[in-house]
Amino acid sequence: MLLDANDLPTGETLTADVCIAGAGAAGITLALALRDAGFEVILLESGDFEDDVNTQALYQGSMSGIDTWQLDDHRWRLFGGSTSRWAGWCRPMHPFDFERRPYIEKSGWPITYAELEPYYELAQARVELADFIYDLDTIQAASGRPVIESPSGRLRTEIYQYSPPTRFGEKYRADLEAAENVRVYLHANVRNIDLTSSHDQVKRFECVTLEGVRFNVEARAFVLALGGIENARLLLASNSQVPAGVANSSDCVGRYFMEHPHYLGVCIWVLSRPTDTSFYEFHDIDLPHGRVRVRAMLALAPDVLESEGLVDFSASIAETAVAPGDTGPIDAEQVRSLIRDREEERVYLLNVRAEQRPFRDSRITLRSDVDSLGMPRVDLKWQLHPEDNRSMRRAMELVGAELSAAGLGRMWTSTKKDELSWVTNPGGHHMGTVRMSEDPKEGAVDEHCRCHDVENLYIAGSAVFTTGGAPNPTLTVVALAERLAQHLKEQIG
Amino acid sequence: MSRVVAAKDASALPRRNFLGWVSASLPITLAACNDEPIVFVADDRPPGSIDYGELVLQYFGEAGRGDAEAIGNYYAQFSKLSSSEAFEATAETRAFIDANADIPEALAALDELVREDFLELRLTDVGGWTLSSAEVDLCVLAWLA
Repeated sequence: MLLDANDLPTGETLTADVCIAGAGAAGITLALALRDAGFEVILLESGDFEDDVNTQALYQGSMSGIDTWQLDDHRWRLFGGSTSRWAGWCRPMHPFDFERRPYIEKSGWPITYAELEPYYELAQARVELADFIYDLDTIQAASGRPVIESPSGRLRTEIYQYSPPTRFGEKYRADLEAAENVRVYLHANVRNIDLTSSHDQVKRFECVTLEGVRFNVEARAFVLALGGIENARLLLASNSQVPAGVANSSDCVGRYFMEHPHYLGVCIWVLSRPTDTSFYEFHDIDLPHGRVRVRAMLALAPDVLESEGLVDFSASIAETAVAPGDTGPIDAEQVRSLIRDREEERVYLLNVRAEQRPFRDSRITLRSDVDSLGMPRVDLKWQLHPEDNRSMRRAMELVGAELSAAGLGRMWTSTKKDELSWVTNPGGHHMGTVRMSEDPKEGAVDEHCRCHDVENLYIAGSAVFTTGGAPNPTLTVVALAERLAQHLKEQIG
Repeated sequence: MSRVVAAKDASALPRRNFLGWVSASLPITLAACNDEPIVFVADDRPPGSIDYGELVLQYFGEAGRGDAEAIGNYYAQFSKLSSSEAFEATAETRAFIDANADIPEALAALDELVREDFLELRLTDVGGWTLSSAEVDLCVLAWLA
């Protein structure tokens, strides 16, 4: 059922089996899964069904690191969360994303891909995609379009599927409205996490609305599903009982903030012979249980990433035109002259979406000023590890070498002297601030997304990502929420 | 092995005019850029050895030679190599060329060498372009020829 927290009498205490804060992809998925198990669920959402300026303003803060966006323009505080804006890019993370990679400090999730895979299949349905098939051979056979050659096997072609995209707020509103055991409270903001005197259990969420109604929620289990920045913000700001903040004995909460740095148009590929690149364009294919929009991307094979010590990435290609000077001192036309027996005169941009290394100093901290609810605003100091730029430059060099070895032209990567001159754009993917770890000293939540320090407090969403991988995070966020629902069913069922 | 010998007294000559004049040297004279003195490159190779100037002309074609020269020039300047140093840096590729009987054979071998360079990651960055080390050497030779 859908309710308005402004209608509650101040001082009210609500009770449930599970209280979820945040009705985005993770929170709604969790609520639906728990509904089916018969739990009494309270789902708290700060916003309404439509955008609201005053609610959105609660996200305002500052960026003291890489400053290419604003904290209130890449996430959306309303029922459905940021799925109200997402573009629908889906693919699971790779098995190697979950493994410890010795060349990436702090890599290695406490769960494996195999443990998450069944939940990816559930997630696939949640985002309205039929078949959980990302295997290149199967997709390529269904597509009938060719893969770009890789003579040494260094190149990997990666498949993305595209959700309609599912607007969780619209798609699942009626389901939640009809669910008698799920109470959705709009305009409900968690202002503080109140712990028991031993600090190892949540006693209640203290909540408030913009209109000033105060109420509490008590539950057997509590879940924060507020997004990669707000989860950390609430934990850090709930510091009246534990000065470092809730679940923060590791001093990891708010740290290791990761994005997917987007490098747009930084590489130019001069193609030199007729080549069918249409597999790398959006197109629709038929899979056993339905039609789906797909696109292939370029990446490097896992063994190359490992031997070179590189983070992962995926690169889309888009045909373009280049003018003299676009590639610095050496024009594309000049380089084309180097290629013997050239036939084709096409040029592509490579748009790169990269993984970044977990970096302790890339972090969220509380500021001294507060929002209209009295919550400290945050500063985000998004930073890349010094190795990340070197890594991406080398990755592009390897891609260029492989395309050249295949007789497909030459590639240019933007540089300024020896340094990359890339503008780092965000993907709106906020990860790692409440990271998952086996060792309580290395992270804030365990393999079940349960806080190491607080037994009945769980985190849902990309905040728990130990490493970010290269794939867009939504499918993994939903899969982790499905898995968390299963865990809660077993724990409190 | 070729020997590079500075010829200060000839430094005022335009480089291209100088080419035909130095018949006893390789068809390459160095410098005339960045106020360097022109240098002779004594050709110690056996008679009938491949003419690098002709080879690069055939490799890049008449239309592409100017672009190759520009790339070779840029590479040498960016790498802060004098023309004689740039020439010396092409030693491996020249040795590879010299191992062939004639220009057609050398061209075919160079095509394969460039491909192998990319496969084996023998790469040279020139202004952000990922190029084969051999093809950059050929650009340098084109610039010097």
